[in-house]
Amino acid sequence: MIKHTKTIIASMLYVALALFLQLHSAFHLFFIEQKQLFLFGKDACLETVSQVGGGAVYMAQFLNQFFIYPYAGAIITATLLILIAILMQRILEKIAPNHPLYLLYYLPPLALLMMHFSFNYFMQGTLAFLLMELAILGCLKIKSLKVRSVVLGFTVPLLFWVAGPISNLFALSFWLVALFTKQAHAHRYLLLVVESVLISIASVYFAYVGSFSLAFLPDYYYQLKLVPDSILYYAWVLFIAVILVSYWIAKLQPWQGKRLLVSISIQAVFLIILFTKGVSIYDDAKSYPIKKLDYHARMQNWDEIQKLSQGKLSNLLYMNYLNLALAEKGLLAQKAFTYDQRGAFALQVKSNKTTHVFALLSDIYFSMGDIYIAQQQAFEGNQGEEGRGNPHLWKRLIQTNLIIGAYPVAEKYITMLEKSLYYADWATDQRRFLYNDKAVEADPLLGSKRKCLPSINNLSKINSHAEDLRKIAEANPQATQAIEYLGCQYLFTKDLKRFEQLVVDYYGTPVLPQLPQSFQEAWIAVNEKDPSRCKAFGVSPQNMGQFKAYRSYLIKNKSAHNIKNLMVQSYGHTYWYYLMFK
Amino acid sequence: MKSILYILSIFAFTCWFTSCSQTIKVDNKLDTQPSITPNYSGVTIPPNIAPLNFKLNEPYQAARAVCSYGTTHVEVDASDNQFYIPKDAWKKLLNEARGATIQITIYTQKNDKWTQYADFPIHIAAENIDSHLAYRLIEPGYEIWNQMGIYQRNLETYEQTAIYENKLSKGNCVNCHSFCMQDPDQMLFHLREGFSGTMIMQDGKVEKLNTKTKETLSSLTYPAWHPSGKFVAFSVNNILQGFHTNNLNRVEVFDTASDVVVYDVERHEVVTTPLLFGKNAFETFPTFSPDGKQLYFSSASAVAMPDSFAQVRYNLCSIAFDPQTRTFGSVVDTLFHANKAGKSVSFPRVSPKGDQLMYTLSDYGNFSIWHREADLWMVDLQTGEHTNLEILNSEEVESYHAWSSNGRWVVFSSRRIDGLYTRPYIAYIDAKGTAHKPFLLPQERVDYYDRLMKSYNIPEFIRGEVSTKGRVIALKAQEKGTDIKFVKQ
Repeated sequence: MIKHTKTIIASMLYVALALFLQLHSAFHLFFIEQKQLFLFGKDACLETVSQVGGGAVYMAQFLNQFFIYPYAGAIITATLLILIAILMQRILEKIAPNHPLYLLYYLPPLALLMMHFSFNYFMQGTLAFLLMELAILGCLKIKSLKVRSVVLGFTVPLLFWVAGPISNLFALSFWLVALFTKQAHAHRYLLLVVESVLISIASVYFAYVGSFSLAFLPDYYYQLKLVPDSILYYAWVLFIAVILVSYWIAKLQPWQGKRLLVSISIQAVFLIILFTKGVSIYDDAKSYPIKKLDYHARMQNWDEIQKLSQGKLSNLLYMNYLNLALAEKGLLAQKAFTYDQRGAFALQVKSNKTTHVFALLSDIYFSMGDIYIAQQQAFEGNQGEEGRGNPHLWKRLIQTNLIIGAYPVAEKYITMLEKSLYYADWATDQRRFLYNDKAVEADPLLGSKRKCLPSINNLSKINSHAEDLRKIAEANPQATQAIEYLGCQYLFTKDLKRFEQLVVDYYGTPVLPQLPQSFQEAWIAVNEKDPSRCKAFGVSPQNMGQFKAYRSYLIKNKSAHNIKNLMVQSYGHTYWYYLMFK
Repeated sequence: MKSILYILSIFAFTCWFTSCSQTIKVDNKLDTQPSITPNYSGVTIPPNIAPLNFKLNEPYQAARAVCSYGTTHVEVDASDNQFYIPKDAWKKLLNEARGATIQITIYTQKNDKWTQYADFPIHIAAENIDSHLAYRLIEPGYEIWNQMGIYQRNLETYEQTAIYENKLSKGNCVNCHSFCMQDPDQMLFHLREGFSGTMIMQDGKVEKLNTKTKETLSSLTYPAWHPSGKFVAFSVNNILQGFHTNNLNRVEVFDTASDVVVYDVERHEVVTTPLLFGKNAFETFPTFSPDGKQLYFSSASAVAMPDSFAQVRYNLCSIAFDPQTRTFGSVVDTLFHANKAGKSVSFPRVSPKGDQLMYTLSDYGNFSIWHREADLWMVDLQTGEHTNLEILNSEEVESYHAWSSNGRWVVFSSRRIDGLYTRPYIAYIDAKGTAHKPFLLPQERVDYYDRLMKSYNIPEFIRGEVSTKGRVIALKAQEKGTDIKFVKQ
């Protein structure tokens, strides 16, 4: 009965966890997929597994590549965590066979789940945990003391090499489990701890591992340059703690009948509380909308980004994605002010030197047609990623190298990306552009971007980025993004003087044959006292009329204390409102 | 034990039996050489280099390479799409052919017919090369990096080991490694962005230096040891970078100001002269002559940067240096007015005999690693004759270079394979100072460079292995370090 109960509970929790992850963290899992690139092939495999902990890294990267497929990330993560719980149960049952300790089985995987909410945590930490449990159970199965001793002696260094510092947890916990399950000569297994400590020390001494914290602790499974949150250590601490607690519980009367029911109920309540509390603390809810936008930008779901950008926008990154989507649809200058916007950084945030922001900026520069800077941002972003880089940025590097005609480099990257699962077909398709200028020029995307390359080279931003954008717009007037970004940059910063000059310079030319909506509104504001100039620059009578109405409404309500609220209702979508009230 | 011996002997016999090559019946003989990667045809190599494994640039059913010198032949059947030349047989062949030429004959089988190509030669120099090559491996990036390290490669094998990897110091930047006269026991490099300082190793002793002084523009930057090991010349630079809007050079790295100083290793002091330390000129890339009495460097008239980034051109200059008194000559000699030729000199490097100086020539600026037009040149210091080392140069960048301890070999970095990733090439310089066709540093797996996403940075020959352990350096790096002093003379 108990056995079935455990299976039922595990199955239910598995389904619940997978559903939770899918419903709650789908875009986080898509985001995680970009953090590690798995490549098939002997060389990539050897390169990875030859490092300390490389086996777990290889497995993690292998699993990670499926996260790009809907549901896969949730199913894989849930599977790993439930497997860890099941193996935990098997280990604890050896210590306390008569006490179903559901809470304890699920505590370490629960702590690991909290780590999975952090994109700075590497899945290899969870896989290492799983491998350690398998190693404990596998070694406990060996009956012969001699054989077990030999196997254990090899398991510690092997586990260290394959999965990293988890070997220390393995050695300590195996010794405890052996003691508590009254294995013959259990005290001798303390030697395993000595062995694992020596191996970890040696790994630092011989520079295989960078520091003692990396050689002994789960820090190895976290971004090297960052200081991990204490939750990183919980799973390890809990693993030892539950072994100790189960040993204590084993001494109690077996739970049966009502007592069993009560214990299960209490544990279930505790588990739910811990889960809820844990999610509320460790779930990176703040960054979730960004992950959503990042996914849609990568998939070029521009409509979706527009939908997500309705109402008040509280983050400049949201605005960057929105404006990128608008630019890609050719609507930036048309519709920018129908959304919540704020300042120049709404178009382009300052780089914080994280991969994610580099990727976003690369996309923005690419949209503008500033190909070399898009490439530079993509390259820098790739550097920030552990392992083999970020697939989206590799794609961008391939595209930009094809555009500038750096074919051998593009070929190098294509060859690499062809060894991936999801991106291989795309990469192979790019081969048709290699060493083929005509094919590049004929391609709607690459050809258009190549046209954006300015005819005269200069150092980017040597004077200002505005100069670069002007040159791009002049080089390829059909691609409107450069001029729209530039015009909007002036409007967002309320630099109407430069905006005026821009319009004067380009209106009526192929760069700016007519003024888009927001430019018209701004032009009216610039030429408020000279309506003829509005007419001369193609401002529509409707816009002129609307401005009149705006003015009257403003004058009428100028003394109202809630004038901003009054104006936003009727004119919140206009540049005039932005100019006056934002 | 007996059974193990039995199994081993069966295995050895099987290997011997199966390795006996079958005789090839040639159906077709071509008078053209095969296309191979890397292109080792006609290169000159040292007798102690690791096997030059290569592959054919065409499909085949089967292929064989026969390396011959006199009556010695090494036959290699292609496997895994390349030729793996057996190390011992290669070593024996090269020793026999020292100072002579070996011939490589290629046979390929297609549609069950064998074709023999015209032989291609590989010249074996009489002089050995230094046993190791040190370099940094880093992505050709701009401001961001991840894993990087300084490594040493045994040139007689394929073994590469780390001298120092940045994982030992929280992923910081490690750069500008330099050796005193190719001595692996006298080395320095910088750590930046975490545990910052200059790590200097001499005969097993490791020291950390804090090299920024209030008098100098920056921390000590580009180094060059004095042959005595008692001094190191450094540039101090305010370095910036800008990105091209339409140029395959991609990035421009430039100085807005720079000077040259000499660091006294024993006294922890920096000395200089107003001739190297003025605002009117950008001095950089110092290097000592092998007798230690002359300091060569690149120098450009100071201009407004970055506006004049394409107008700044560096001349090749030198000044006398007296190591006894730590004093400099009163005149700067300009050996080559490169600016008058519309060119710019970087990385001057004097041969160990002191008779020749190799440098990089580009159209402008000093950071020639990002200049596709950058080529290697040599000046005969006796005659003053400048030679374009055409045989070393390509359409892509040739830039950093270093001499071997016997002056017969140079290693230089080139981007000729793909235009971005720097690879080390090695060339023979004969007694007359003539450069011979260079060869790409051989790797066991021919496609190694295709897969490698890092550049070889600052390749430097060393006469043996660096013995100081990375961990020892890392521990020292965590210390506060010794402040150096600027001394006015």
